[in-house]
Amino acid sequence: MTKPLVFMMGRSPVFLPTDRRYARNHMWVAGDESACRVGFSAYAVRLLGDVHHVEWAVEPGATVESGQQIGFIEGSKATSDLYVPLAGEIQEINRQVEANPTRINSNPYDSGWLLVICADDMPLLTPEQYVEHLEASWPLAQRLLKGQAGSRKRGTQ
Amino acid sequence: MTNSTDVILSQPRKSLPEHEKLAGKILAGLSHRPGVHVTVIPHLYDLSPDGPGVEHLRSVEGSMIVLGWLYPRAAYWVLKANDVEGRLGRTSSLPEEDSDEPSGDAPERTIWCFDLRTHEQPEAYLEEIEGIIAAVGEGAEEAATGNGKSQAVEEATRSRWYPVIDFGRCTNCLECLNFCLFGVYGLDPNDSILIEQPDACRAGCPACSRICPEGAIMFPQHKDPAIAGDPKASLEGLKLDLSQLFAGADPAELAARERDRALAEQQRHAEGTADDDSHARDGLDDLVDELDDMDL
Repeated sequence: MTKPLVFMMGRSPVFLPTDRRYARNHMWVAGDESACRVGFSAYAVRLLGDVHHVEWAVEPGATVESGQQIGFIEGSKATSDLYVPLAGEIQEINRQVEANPTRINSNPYDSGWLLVICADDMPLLTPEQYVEHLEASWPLAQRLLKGQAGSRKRGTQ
Repeated sequence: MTNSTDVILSQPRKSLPEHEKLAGKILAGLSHRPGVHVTVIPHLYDLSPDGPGVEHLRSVEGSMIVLGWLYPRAAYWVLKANDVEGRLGRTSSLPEEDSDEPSGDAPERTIWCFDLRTHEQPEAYLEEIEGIIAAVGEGAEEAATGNGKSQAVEEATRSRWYPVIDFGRCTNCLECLNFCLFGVYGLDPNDSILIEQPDACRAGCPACSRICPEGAIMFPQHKDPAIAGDPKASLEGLKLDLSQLFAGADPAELAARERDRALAEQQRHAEGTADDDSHARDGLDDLVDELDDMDL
């Protein structure tokens, strides 16, 4: 396997394996259309912090649209709804991650996978394109994060 | 310190019958109340910094009750921006909000701000105002000189649009200064953020408010409560939630697009005076184009 690409989130490097492709919603996709395994990129995982809760709003067999909300995830730093990056049919959901969400942190590209989907088509980014996407959106993402961190601080006082 | 209380009624931009009815009943309820001066002014936000409205507000020495159709937090910081200072009083329109208290050398008087959209009936306001007047004037009824008679400050105002900074929240990070393309923000001699050219602001553009990490920038006339100065909305609306990022678009990107639309509009208006291609493309333009092309 070739060396992963590296994107610097400030001073923290995140690694992006080159054996798979990426979606703009910060998920990786591996495999072909008949069975795409999907998980969060290390970039997304770093934003979430230590993941302690994952829940699904869909079951295997469900047909989904690209961008459809399919669940919810909560980490130490943030929460987010989960969105599916491709249209198709959900084939499998990683129940082990549901039971033990820290796998997403410890092994985001392998045992921390989220689901398998049979995709209608795969409009995805190459690792290089995903790095470009991250570079372009990082300054704005930082503002978003700083903004939310600021208001969260006040909200919990 | 005086024991009289000044009541300021900030009129709505467009006075509807229900506004007039509510204001009329409140003014009637306060008439002949000892120790009360009532002044009707045009919309507080629209006042000119060197006009008679602001001049009157600055002349008020004692406690002040401000009534208007805007969030109390917005009213308070508009006053502050015009050097009308005091402690922010708690009311039913603004029951509590910690950490937004102005600190330091605020004068020993209180400014209570009521949002006249809080209750439909005048009694709710009158009851609270009575309570405040009684507390302020306690033991000094005889010395009180006002008699509840109302006066109006005449000032020809126009609808303005500019940011109002909540300095209880602002950390002087200067994100707004760096973000705004219209030269609204500047620095004072101490390198603190300053609304340098309020009227250079693009009417309707609230993008800097969205970009502010502390939710400190208000546009009191904006339809979104979080931007118009509702403290609760701003907390809930910006809860740490990555959904927008993980769905593909985030608020910061949207804010940049909003600002750039305002800029494009300004440039259309300025066509003919600008050089043929005065706006050099930069990375942000490319990003915005890319975002526009995205189908997320």
